[in-house]
Amino acid sequence: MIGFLVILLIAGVMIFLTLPAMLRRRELRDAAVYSLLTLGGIVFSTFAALLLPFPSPLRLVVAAYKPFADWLFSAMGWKG
Amino acid sequence: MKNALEKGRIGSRQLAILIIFMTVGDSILILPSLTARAASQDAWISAIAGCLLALPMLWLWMALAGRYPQSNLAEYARGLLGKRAGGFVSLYYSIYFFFVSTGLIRELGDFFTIQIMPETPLRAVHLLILLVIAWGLAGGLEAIVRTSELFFPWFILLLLALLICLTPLLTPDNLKPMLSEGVSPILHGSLYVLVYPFAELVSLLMVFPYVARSRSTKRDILLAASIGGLIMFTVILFSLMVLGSYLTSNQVYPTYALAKKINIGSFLQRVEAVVAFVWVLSTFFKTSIHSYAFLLGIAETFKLRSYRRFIGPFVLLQFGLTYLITPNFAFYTDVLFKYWPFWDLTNAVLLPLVLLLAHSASRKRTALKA
Repeated sequence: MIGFLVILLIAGVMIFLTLPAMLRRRELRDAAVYSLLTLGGIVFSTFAALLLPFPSPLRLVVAAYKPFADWLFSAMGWKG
Repeated sequence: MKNALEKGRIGSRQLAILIIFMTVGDSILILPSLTARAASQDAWISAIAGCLLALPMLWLWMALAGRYPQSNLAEYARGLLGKRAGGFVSLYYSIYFFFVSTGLIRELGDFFTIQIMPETPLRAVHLLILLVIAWGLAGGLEAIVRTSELFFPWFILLLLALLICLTPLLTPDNLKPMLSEGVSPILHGSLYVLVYPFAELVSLLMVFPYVARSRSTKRDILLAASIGGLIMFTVILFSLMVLGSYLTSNQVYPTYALAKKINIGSFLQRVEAVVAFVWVLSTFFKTSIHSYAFLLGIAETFKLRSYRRFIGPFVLLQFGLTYLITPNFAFYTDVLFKYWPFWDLTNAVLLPLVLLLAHSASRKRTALKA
């Protein structure tokens, strides 16, 4: 739980130092991307800090290339 | 189209040093194992084949970068494929650069917690690496490249010392029998030599417009890649000749195991920290450039004012995903062996080829209109 609070604190400080200035200067696109990345960072870091199970993003790479890799490995007789 | 997001400029020599660092990158530790697993004692032939196969790929990138010397990959993707498709390709590349750097940090973390500091939590190692990378990114491209210049003599010196110390242990018989299983395993092994040291250099397409070009730039790039290839070939050859193909393929970090074997007069021994130092250095620069390419790609895709202000969220995101990218080391090694090479090839060969074809098509269209 301490890990989660530390992440929230860091994210809070980051947002406090950067986001208001962006909004004041009307850099809305920058502010939107900043918020999105920070939000993603908070979510994924929380999973990592609390050791919560999360499916590996590499499974997407595996799913995308498995048919081709399997075909190539068997066609060429490569060790799997 | 002059890029406004990066004000720094680097020289050809600095780019060459960066290429050598990035070619050696993480490959110095993981490549011997992957190639030996595929090609057994013929892995050294795979290394030569892989280096030769990398040449057309480098030519492809230089052809693409040469047509748009003032623009980075994200800019000319948008220019060639249009706002939507180009924007999507640029975002896709940014995500790819992000995951390459995630993988590299995870490799470093796993290496430290498996081999050097088993009691230290993996996330603590990740955090320390990320803080140093963030520091480099805040300094910008020039700062990263100048640091690489500073460390380069040490890198070469330690690598040479390591190889020289290993020469008494070389057993050429370990390379026999040659070509016992035909050409197919050699091709398989060459896939990894093509992909991990060379194909991942595609992130340099984000850096090329900031290189102060001279007549020798192309020659320097090819020379640097060749030196990197030669280092990889030597490391694979030494792994096979000292450890043999079975141990090389079954060790997680064969180069580290190699360094443990050094014992000169019972005086000079336990020098594996040298390998760790060399590996951390080369992987750090590779990771930094991929992280830089991600931030610059995101800034280009969304037309942001600066990439530096996104370093904080990047570190937070990277900290989470570096831990979550793989449930364990075995899964990651399996992905590296079977699937990741094709992802790398898609981004290093297929997409740049599409962009080059789009460039030719657009030139033809312009000529027809004229």
